[in-house]
This record gives sequence, structure tokens and C-alpha cells, in this order.
Amino acid sequence: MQLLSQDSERLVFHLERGEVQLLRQLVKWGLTAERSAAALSRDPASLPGGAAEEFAAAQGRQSAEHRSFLEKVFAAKGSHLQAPAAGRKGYGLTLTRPEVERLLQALNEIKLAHWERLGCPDEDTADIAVTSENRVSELVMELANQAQSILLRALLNEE
Amino acid sequence: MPTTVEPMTVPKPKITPRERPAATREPGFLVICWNDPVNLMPYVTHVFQTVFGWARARAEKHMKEVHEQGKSVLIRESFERAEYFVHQLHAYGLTATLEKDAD
Repeated sequence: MQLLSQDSERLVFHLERGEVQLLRQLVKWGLTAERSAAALSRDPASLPGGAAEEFAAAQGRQSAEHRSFLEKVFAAKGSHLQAPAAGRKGYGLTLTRPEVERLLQALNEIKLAHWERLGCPDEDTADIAVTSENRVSELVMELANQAQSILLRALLNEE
Repeated sequence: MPTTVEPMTVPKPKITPRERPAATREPGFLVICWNDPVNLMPYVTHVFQTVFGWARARAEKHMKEVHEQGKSVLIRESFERAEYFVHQLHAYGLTATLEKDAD
């Protein structure tokens, strides 16, 4: 993934075909973060009645929104992905600035889901068992980190 | 001949919320961000800037606090506003909670 161009409203990225295929596969798996750490408060008793339950429901809705956003962005016949430019393999991806923000959030959700699947390891991943499933999660986290860094640099106009 | 009299104004004492006695402050909630090993530091800084509209330096200060001290108190707000901010931070995947301010 790399930034091709941007103006005040839109940003255009290049994605390799393999990246698009992987992202589509991730959306299809529909893995969402359990958000066990995302409680509203560490002292729920201090909150108004029903607040924690309401909040958990809102979190669930948000995960669904992230997924449907990714489905829309990476749809084969959608308006965001364009056919490969002449002389290039892969796709053009056009997003508005608010959509880049949404993509950052949605990618982070996928990353967190795979981090949870790995057992929420610390930064040192040496203790993670070497299985094909774990390797996939590690690759997904790497891809998400890389994409997030590119999106952040683009938003900060550091390219 | 008329003379001009300089208006006398008594400057108002500047009272910041922290200087007000606890008993006179409205009950509030602290929005706290907790450290995790998964979110990138530039990402956390960006989220603070976006959610709170902070300048980069302030966002980075809080990001470093989270990273080095395990948590950072980001803001003190009413329950509704604090809940809104926590929700925004969770949308970005940060570990944030709201805690009743004991002061």
C-alpha cells in the first residue's frame, strides 16, 4: 500500500492485488475484537444504572459498522477501488479524509481481534506457539500496522 | 475644563477549576487511557488529536504518559461528555475508561 496523491478532500492509494485479496478475506472472516478490555469503567458501580449495558450494545453496533464499511470500500464493483492504472499491477483506492479515519479504526479493530486470538501477547511475540493459525494472525497484525502507518503519514501530510 | 477620568476596573480573580475547593466543584468523571502493547504510538497521538482536538504536543505528552506510566488522565467531564469521549476512544481501539473523580 502506498499513497499516490492527495488534495484537501481526497487521498488516492495504490494497493497490490494480494493486499486487496487479503483485506477482502479478512472482511469475510468477520473477526471482531471481543473488547474484554473495553469496559466503560473499572468501577461500574459508580456509573448511572444501565450505562454499562448500553455502552456494550453500542460497541457491538460499532463493530458491525466497521465491517460494513470495509465491505463497501473493498467491494469489487464499489466506487472506492479502481482498476489497475496503466503499467501498474494492483488497484487504486480513493478515499475522503473522513473515510481514511474510518479505515484506520476498522483496521485497528481487525488488528485487535487477531491480537486477542494470539492471547493478547506483550510486544515480544517470541513465546507465541508456531502454528499456521497464529502465523496468519501475526501477518494480519503486521499488515494492519504497515497500513496504519501509511494512512497516518498521509493524514499528517508527511509523505 | 472637563477632565478624563480613567475608568477603574478591578481585575477578576482568575480561578481555574483545579483551584476551586472540591466541595464547590460539580461531580465529574475522569477519562483515563490505559497502556496496551498493541496500539502504535503515532496512532495513539493521532487519536488524541482527533478526538479532543488537541495540538500535537499535548497529544504526545499524554501518549508518553500512557506509554511510560501505564495510564494518563485525559480530561475531566460530566458523565455524558466523558461517556462520549470513552466511546470515541474505543471506536479507535484504545483502552479507555471513565472513573468518578474522587476530588
